[in-house]
Amino acid sequence: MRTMAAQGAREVPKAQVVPEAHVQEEKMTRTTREQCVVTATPGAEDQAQPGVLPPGAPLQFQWRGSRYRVLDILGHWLDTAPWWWRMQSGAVQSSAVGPASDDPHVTSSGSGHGVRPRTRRVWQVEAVNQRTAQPGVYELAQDVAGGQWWLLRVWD
Amino acid sequence: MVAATGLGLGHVGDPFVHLRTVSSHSLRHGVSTPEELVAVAADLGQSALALTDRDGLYGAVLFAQACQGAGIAPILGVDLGISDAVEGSGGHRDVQPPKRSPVRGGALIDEPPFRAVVFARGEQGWAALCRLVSAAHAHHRGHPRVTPTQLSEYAAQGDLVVLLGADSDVGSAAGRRERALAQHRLLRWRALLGPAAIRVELASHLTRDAATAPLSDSPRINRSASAAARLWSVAQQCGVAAVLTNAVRYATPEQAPIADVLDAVRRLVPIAARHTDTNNAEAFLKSWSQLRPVVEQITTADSPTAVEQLLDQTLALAQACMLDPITDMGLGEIHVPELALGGDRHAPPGGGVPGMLAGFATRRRSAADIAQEAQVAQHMLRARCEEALDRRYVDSTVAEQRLHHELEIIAQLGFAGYFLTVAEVVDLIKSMGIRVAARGSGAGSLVNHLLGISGVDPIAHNLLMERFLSPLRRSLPDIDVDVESARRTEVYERIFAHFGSQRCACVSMRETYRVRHAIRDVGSALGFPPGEISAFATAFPHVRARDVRAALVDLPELRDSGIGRLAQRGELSGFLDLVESLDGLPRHVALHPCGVVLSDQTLLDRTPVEHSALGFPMSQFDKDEVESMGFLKLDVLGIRMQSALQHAVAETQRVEQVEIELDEVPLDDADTFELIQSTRTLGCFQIESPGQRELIGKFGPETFDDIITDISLFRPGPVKSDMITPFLAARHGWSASDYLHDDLRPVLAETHGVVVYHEQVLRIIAIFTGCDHAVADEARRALGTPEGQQRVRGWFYERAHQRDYPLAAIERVWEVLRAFASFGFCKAHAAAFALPTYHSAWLKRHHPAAFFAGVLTHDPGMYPKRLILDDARQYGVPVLPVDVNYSDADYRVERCGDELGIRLALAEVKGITDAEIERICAARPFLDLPDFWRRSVVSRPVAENLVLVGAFDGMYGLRLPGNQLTRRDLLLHLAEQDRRSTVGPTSSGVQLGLDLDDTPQVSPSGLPEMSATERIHSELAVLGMDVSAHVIDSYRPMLEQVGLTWSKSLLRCRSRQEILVAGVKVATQTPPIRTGNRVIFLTLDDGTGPVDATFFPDVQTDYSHTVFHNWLLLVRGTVRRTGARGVSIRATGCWDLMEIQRAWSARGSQAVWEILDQSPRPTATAPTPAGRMHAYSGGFRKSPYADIGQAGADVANARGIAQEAPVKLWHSSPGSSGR
Repeated sequence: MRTMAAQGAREVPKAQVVPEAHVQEEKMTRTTREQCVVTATPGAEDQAQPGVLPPGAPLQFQWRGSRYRVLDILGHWLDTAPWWWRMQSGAVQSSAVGPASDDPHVTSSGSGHGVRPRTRRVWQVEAVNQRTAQPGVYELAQDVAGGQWWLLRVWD
Repeated sequence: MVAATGLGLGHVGDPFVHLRTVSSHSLRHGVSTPEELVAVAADLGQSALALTDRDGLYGAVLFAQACQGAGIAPILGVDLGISDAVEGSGGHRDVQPPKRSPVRGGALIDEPPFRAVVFARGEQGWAALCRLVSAAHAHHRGHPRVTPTQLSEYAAQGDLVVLLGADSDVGSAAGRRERALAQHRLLRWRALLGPAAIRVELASHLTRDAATAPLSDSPRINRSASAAARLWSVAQQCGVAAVLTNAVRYATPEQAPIADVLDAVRRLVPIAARHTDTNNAEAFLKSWSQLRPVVEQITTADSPTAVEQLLDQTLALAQACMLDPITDMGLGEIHVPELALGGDRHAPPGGGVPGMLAGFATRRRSAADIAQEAQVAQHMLRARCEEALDRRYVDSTVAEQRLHHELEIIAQLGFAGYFLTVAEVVDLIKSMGIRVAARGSGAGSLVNHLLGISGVDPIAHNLLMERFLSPLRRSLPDIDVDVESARRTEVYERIFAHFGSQRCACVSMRETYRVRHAIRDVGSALGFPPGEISAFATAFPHVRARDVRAALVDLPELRDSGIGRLAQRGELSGFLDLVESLDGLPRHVALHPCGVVLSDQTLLDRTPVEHSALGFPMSQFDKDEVESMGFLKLDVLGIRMQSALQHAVAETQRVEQVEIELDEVPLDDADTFELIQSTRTLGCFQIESPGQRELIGKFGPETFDDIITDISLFRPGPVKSDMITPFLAARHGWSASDYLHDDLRPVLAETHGVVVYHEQVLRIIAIFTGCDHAVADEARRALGTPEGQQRVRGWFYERAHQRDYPLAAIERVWEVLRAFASFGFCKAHAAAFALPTYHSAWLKRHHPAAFFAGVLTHDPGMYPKRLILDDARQYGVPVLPVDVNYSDADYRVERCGDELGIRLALAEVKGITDAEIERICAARPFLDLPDFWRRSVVSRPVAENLVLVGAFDGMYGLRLPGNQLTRRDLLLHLAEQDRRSTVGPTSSGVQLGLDLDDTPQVSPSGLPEMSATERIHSELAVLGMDVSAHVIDSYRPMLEQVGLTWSKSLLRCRSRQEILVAGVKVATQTPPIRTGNRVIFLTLDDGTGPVDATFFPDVQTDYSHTVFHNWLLLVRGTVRRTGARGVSIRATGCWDLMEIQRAWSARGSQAVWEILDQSPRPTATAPTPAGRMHAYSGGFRKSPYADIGQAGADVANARGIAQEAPVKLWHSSPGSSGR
């Protein structure tokens, strides 16, 4: 076993909520987008420990100062981070048509990176809070390219 | 992804075959072109690929051709919406088409809940599939559906296989964990079709299982591994074989965001996880090594051989459904209609669907039948031609030999039936009394002339048949037929009635995403506000979507706009990426404007048809694809000028009782040529554009042949390769004609040594190499590409050398051929054009009122009607206002004292309906306004518009001395009447108590009459035309004070003199020019005639925005004399005339000079917006912004708002931005 808490995650102090305030109440679940630290089974590339758990599955994780132990893997799948969120918020300025007033801050920076959605491996797990011993269902996602873990959703 | 590298041998050994793949021909669903998909599959080393587009076989021909090229086997299926669950008894339950709603996100998006893919097996399967698709489209246009019962009827012969996947009713139930329902549904399918004709499709995109997901996160279709496993278990339970697919939507995973955008665009909603079909990037064309682990997740609980078993079943189905493009689909064969040798062409196959399918074999003709029929056709053709030959060419051995030669080629190709069919169509149109003229290279054939298809005598005009039909090309030649535009639909109906819909179809065309649509759809998907999207989109010219970034950099009016700056800061990069990625994707299937397909009774076995908006059956293949399928394609073009000519002739007959037979008019009328030379040719066919008027000013055509030459010269090719300068120099004797070589003198004499026509190129090649014209035409075609030129060059040099031509001469001739060959113009085509050109000029000279009535009614040209109307005024033709007692739906010629005037048409009045026009015409004469209001029953806005443009002035004698009534009084009266009729006691329909005396009469109220300026503004707002006076008149005092040069006095200007001109914008064009830069041609109308100004790149940075976004302009420029009657202005500045007028009103002409002096002048160092050039083999370059649709609101009708910029008062050849 090895920790998959990648470098990026360590920079975030434990128990700190990353203020990406996209929290949305639903009937039974709460959507969050918070980084977290996860210990997982070795990934597929290691070829170790075949069988018992799918490679890369989370074993335990820390979230909001608590430590959780994974009891069962309920499901796992692939999805892409909603790449359109950023673009939907940044609409074109309505003054965009017509000659612009002279703006001293205009700098030319060439074309950008475009739309490159990030694929995430999502694990729906049953886990128990080790302090309160309260079980719950959690959805953890790992960025396939960067290794960063996120807690996506909590089912109460 | 595993990509094949190296020599394109491909991998041996990827065993998988994708059975479910959609291409971009699944509108707003598929992402990759069929060609891309085939290339990736071939690279992976897969031996076959299926294309299963939604709702049709639109991509089938391209796909089959791409497969042929890549050496893999095509499999074709169609993904159809199922209109009823399998329980249905066969009837269409949803008989009501869904309501349309103009609002994005309204309830109109009606996606079928369930789908199934239907594969074809063999040629009978292909025929059944084509007919099934046609049947699916037959019920509601745009909502193709089939019922399970229908499917079973078409599958009864065992030639179709139905695939039920996650999006079928079975898969949907399994996805929701409703196992019993899934089983029930699958057993019904099994009972209906039999186990051999159905397969269950297992596809996993590794998504979350929607059965356990919250709604907001789950994609529309459950393609999770667990759902696939459940579906498989259902299939096993029911004894139905399962196959593996990856439900492919794009060739490579990077294209996944485009699929997300298309999902949102199709459903008219902003993108969100719940609106996507698959919210990850797994729906790409995977290799077996990529797919195998996915499949293992589906089969985890089963035996280790399960994966192999599923793979075997998949490959077995693939094997069974592979089609041969030639023998099964009929690609590359030729299927012309059967000869009308007795027998009923109309008999539809009897016996319903089973009879139709069973009749498959009897519909096919054997090779022996075809050969025999071809022989009979050849005899008929020869007899008909020889009979005509005796009539038209008395004792002409030249004609006899020519006919013999042509018939030999036709016999060799077996095309006699084709010619007879086209002749049949032309006879049919003529019998309806409709003007019909063949155009294009077909005029070069004597057979066409003798059959009456073409009116041009190919022998007299030196035309060649090989340009049209060659024994070296075994493809059906093109014959285009021009008819009157107003009666084109009638012609179509007649053709369909004559040949029967079993043999006839129209051709479709696929409109693809260009920049504006792409911006609108991506913007909507991302949820931008509609107003911003619209402003963004209309700021662009109609360039390709993939050129969006280049346009933002190249075009000064965009570069310096707010959008341009956002883009430069990189803030739009993701947005622009998406816009670019939609480039070229089909977004709409429409009726091709002119193509009609004729074939034998196997037509519907070979192409699916759907209904166009006009109700004509329309093949799902486009014009190139129907040719590949070997159908006879006839282009029936509606030509507005033909209708305008017809209208003018009819008006002359009606008013003057003079009968004109246009085709009998001699082609050497001196008065007509005088008119053409004067360049006052607005409204005339082909010679009204600023460039053409400049050219005829320099050229001075004196004969009909000169018109042919003029039309041939004014083409992009000749303009760009600068054929015009040497031609004019030689014609005017400024330099000696250069014939390249004495042997070529007879060929080049007609154009003073300049190669203008294709026919000349053919003859030059034939003379220098000794080959025949058929070979020469092949060489000419090859010259169009650099590789072809290389090939031809060696051959040409060698052959010419063998014929003892000196190397210097060979080199000179080769240089000319290389540079000019691909841009010359087919002389036959030009001759066909020249005829209406001459006819329109003749009518303008001799019957101006009728000519203007025709042109204004049918609007054939490039200019807005207000300019044509102004031209009529300057021509001395009285313009009579709209009058409810005299105006008709169309423009009429009306006697007006000794003169003939034109009466404006009721149809021009804003908001008026055809029914209202009909009632007005039927109920008149009207006594007064109350009488009109009561009996015409028009809406109040229309009645008010009529008052505003003076349609009652005549009736009341308004503005006559002593009359106190005004238009305002009439408007007051209307308001009163309208109020009474809505609140009055008689609104119940009981009219008995109301007698005439009860109606108040119109009386003067003391309100002042509208001023002249107000009248003009009303006219512009209601009619889109200034009728009573010219718009510019109200600016006249200011313009005179600043020393404006008017159009009529331009000819007195010296070269290089700096002048000011002004006027209403009439046209902006960005035509291709020789240097390849974008040049803006602006035409203004100042009330004394047109003024043409040119904006070169050095002034575009400062002024292009002003040019494109204003409609009244003041232009400063330098005069350039280009000939005796040629004047053009090189612009050095441009201003909004209304702004100048305001400054002048406030502070006098000093203020005007200050504005002009403070505006920038072009400098040598100004950045030039050259852009990238498209390089052509002839050595010229073309700006990507030349010759394209111009920016701005695209409103065809010239109706404006007088105060603000009018909606559309000018023509814009759509090359640039602006409204």
